[in-house]
Amino acid sequence: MKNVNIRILICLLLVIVLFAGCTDANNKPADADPKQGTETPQEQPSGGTQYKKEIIIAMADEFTTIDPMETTAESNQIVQDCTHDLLTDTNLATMQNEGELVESWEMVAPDHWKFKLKENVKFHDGTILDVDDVIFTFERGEQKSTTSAYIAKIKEFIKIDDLNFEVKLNNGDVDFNYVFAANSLAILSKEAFESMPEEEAVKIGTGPWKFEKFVPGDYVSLVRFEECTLYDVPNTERLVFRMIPEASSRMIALENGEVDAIMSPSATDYNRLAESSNLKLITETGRGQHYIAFNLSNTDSIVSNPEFREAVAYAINKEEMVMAAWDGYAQVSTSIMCRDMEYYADIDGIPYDAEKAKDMFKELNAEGLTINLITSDAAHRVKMAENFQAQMSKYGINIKVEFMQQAALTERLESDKSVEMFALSWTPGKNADYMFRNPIHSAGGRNYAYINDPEIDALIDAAAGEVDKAKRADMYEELQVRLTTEIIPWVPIAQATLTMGADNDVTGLVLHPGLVHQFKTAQKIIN
Amino acid sequence: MIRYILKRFLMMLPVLLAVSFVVYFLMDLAPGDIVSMMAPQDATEAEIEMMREEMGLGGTLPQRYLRYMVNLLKGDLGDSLSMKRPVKDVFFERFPATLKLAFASIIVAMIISIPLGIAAATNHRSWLDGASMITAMLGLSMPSFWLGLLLIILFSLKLGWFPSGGSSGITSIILPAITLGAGQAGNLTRITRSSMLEVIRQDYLRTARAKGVSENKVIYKHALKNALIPIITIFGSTLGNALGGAVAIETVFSWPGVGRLTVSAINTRDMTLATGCIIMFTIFLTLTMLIVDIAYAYADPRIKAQYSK
Repeated sequence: MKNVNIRILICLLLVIVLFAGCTDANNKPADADPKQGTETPQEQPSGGTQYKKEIIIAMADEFTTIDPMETTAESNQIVQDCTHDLLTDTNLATMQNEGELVESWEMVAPDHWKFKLKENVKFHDGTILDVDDVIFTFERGEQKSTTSAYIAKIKEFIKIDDLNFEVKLNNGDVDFNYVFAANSLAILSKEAFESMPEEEAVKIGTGPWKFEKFVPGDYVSLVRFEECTLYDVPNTERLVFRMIPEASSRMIALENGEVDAIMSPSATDYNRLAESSNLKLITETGRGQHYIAFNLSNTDSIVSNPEFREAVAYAINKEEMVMAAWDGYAQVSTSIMCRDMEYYADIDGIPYDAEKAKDMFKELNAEGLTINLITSDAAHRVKMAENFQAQMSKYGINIKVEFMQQAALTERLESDKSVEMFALSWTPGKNADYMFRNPIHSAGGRNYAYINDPEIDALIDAAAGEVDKAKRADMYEELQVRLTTEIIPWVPIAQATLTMGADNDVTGLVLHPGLVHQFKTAQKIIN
Repeated sequence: MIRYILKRFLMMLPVLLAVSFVVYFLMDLAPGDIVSMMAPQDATEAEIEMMREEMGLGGTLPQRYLRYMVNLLKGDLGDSLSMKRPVKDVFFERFPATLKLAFASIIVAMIISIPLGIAAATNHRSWLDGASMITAMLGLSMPSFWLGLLLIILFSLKLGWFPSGGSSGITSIILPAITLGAGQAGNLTRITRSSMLEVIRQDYLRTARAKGVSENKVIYKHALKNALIPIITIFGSTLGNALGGAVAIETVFSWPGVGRLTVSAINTRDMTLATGCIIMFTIFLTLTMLIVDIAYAYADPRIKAQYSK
């Protein structure tokens, strides 16, 4: 009997060894297709630089669709940015809105614009971009919830010729060119929709990458568009986005060489990446404004008192909070507006002054008060809230923190008028109006601080319609000063640093402040 | 037997009704709204309402549930609110991966637990028995995500034998299968051991040995067969749970199974996708238990006779 058992155990061990032995000695799995190589150099004319054939990027969130109009999730838009293009987009070097498919535009009047498309831009199906594709895209966009609001701004669309068109708007908008930079308004090929099923036609764009394959929950792969006319043909042949939800698994895959870059590394890995000899940490200041906010409509609470809010603004040591919540990887904010935006004014804001805060709290009899703060259970928000709680306890104010899922937080902020304080962030779109329109304007859909100030509303509306840039700059500066130092619906804390980990030799990885990171030119020189 | 199987299928219907009711209403009770989560940050109230209508979330909860049930009875699980595609398609894209992992983990669990359980039972109160039980307890007690990360660090990062995640190629299933199988093996080992202990003390085995039957035949032909009933029960429920998707394993190993899909659907408040996934899981669990019950009939002819009554 004992011999039988020993034999069974030996067989078990042999099976395990057999499995191990059958694996590749150099196990860098072909993630997408077993035929694909790993580090085989690209064939180049003799003497040319050699590039890695395939670049693999690990992302934390799932890619679900290549159709730009069916999603607002950054995980989808990051991939779509490689395959599709917009009429205009933000140039990340200058932070200005520039033409992507559009060569030039002219604002005849705030409600009348002229656009000219770039010539000879090829779609992946070989057809050439013209105004009919733009018309088709906009007509399709009318039916989609992600784009209908943008299309609804247009009163009349006038085709002049194959490359020129005009739009007349329902209301004047001096920043209308920014509307075309909405990721969901990527231009689609009319002819593709006429000749192919919809699920194939949505894959056709003008980007330097073509959609190849999608395995749900695992990866999406793109191949370079050899006939691309809008960009230089990429040196990399294949771009793969792998979905790896666990941060430590992403880091291991990078260290293992299974992937070439990872998005959203864990904060605990920052130093490891920065100090590694063959890896690097890429950083960029994000556009997300993280803040502690007050519910101004809660008149039963001391938070509706502007002096209390001012005292809190003096009380917060933002540097300390940045260290606690982001390990120092964030830039302290002095203004409610995000730094990289057009019309940002570098105002002084309210500095940290513990003594002044203490005196103000004493005058308000705030010591001994308990105030509720709600926020999401995201790691940085938890640390922000806990640090805020610790800081306020030094002034004798007890902050009771409640954590919840993001979805639940949004619902509470929308429906529970007894909310006193909350910690949140706002990542605006590309122009100054987006900074204020939704979270600050009384008619805004994300105005969770319930600011209801007609003067502020009037200033936001006036600035949005002001053609004179100097006057506009003054208006936005006034908005920043009033909101940051007088009304104080939020105490802006910091703009978190965006991070990415990558192999030292990989280039072309661009962190976008608006979170739609760019990988169009990702490549790795291997010789 | 056929009548018994048909009866079990019919019993599935009220179970599915109850599950769909509970899940649908619980999802609605949960705070948060998929539309608010999916709408662009700069969406206005009017735009958010338009999205709500587009997703079929207009109307009262009973109205929405009735619409959902009418479609469900036609076999239509609806469209995923976040992915805008039929739930059935989304589910069955991911289900093969879950199926592969479930069966691979069961094979690993059986390879470990059956021999270990038999060894423990036949060497009762020896060092082998003790070692087997300690191994079983380790498998049961270790958090699967922790074991998974340890295996990745050792076999992927340090030794480079296996990939750290993904689902391409035969090698990518080994570590997740071992991780999931280790936890399952713990329970199966203990059940195998206790079931075998009960059986090997029976008189008929003593008679078999007295007749000169080899020890191998005594254990594997006579004893194991009679010890199978509890083992089959645990095997069935283990497989059924594995088919529901092992979320921790799928997350650690980036395995594209339905476990991750279901949790993601719940987190994003995608009601139709979450409800659809849970209903499918219920169907597969019920089918698995039916197969287990049928397997009983072949393991024990006395049970087959009962089914025929």
